Amino acid sequence: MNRLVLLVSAAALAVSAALVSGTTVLPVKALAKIPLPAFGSRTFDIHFVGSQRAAVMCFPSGKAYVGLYVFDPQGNCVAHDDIAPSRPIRDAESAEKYYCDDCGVVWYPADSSICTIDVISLGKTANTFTLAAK
Amino acid sequence: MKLFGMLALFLLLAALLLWTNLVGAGPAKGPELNVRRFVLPAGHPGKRTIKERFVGGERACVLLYGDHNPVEELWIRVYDDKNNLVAQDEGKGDFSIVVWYPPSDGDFTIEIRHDSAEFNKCYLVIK
Repeated sequence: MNRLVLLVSAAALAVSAALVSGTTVLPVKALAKIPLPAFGSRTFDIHFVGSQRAAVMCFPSGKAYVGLYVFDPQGNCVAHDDIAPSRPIRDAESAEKYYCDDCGVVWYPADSSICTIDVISLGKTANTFTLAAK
Repeated sequence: MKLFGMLALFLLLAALLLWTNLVGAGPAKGPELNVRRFVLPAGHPGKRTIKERFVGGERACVLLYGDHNPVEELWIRVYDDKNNLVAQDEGKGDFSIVVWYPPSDGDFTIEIRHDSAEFNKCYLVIK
């Protein structure tokens, strides 16, 4: 009897582990050309499934630096990226000028939960950005 | 004597702060020239490698954005100078990212790959 209970528990645990694998509820969630006002912010609530790799990337249009912050349901900042060079970058191949305002974070959520993604503009020019979560 | 001790402590703290400022993060040559657009050739796998030197102790990050024509899985793998895999993103969409913390200054090989009959115009950021 004890063995049967143990076996059923192990099977339930295995099924549960299989169900909570992955990162976002959808394989990749991407939003393009989201407007971001000067010194403003945009907030997104995205459901991440626990225990595995979660990633969020932000690709702005280059008009202002941005900061990317991830908060868990308790309000703790679990990942952030607001590192940017202080001067424009020149692309060696195309000779175009870019601002390295792109940012991204990777973290491992403790459990399945809705995390809040904040994209904050650090510049005085309105901007647009593409956000991807996976 | 006590004043001398405090002065020595102050100088030690100042030196420590200066040192932590000097050993900054990211690519060793700084953030310049690290935004690239390139064509990832078609293939099974189609791949391209980039060598980059990173400063130890702080955050290193590679971001990749595909052309979505068509949407495919882009992989990033990062190897250290002893060919150990130190970070990877196993595809799942036209966006990829890896973040790692090099233990010391060193050369890393960044391998970008996909498995497709179409080429991909990628946008890569190393920071």
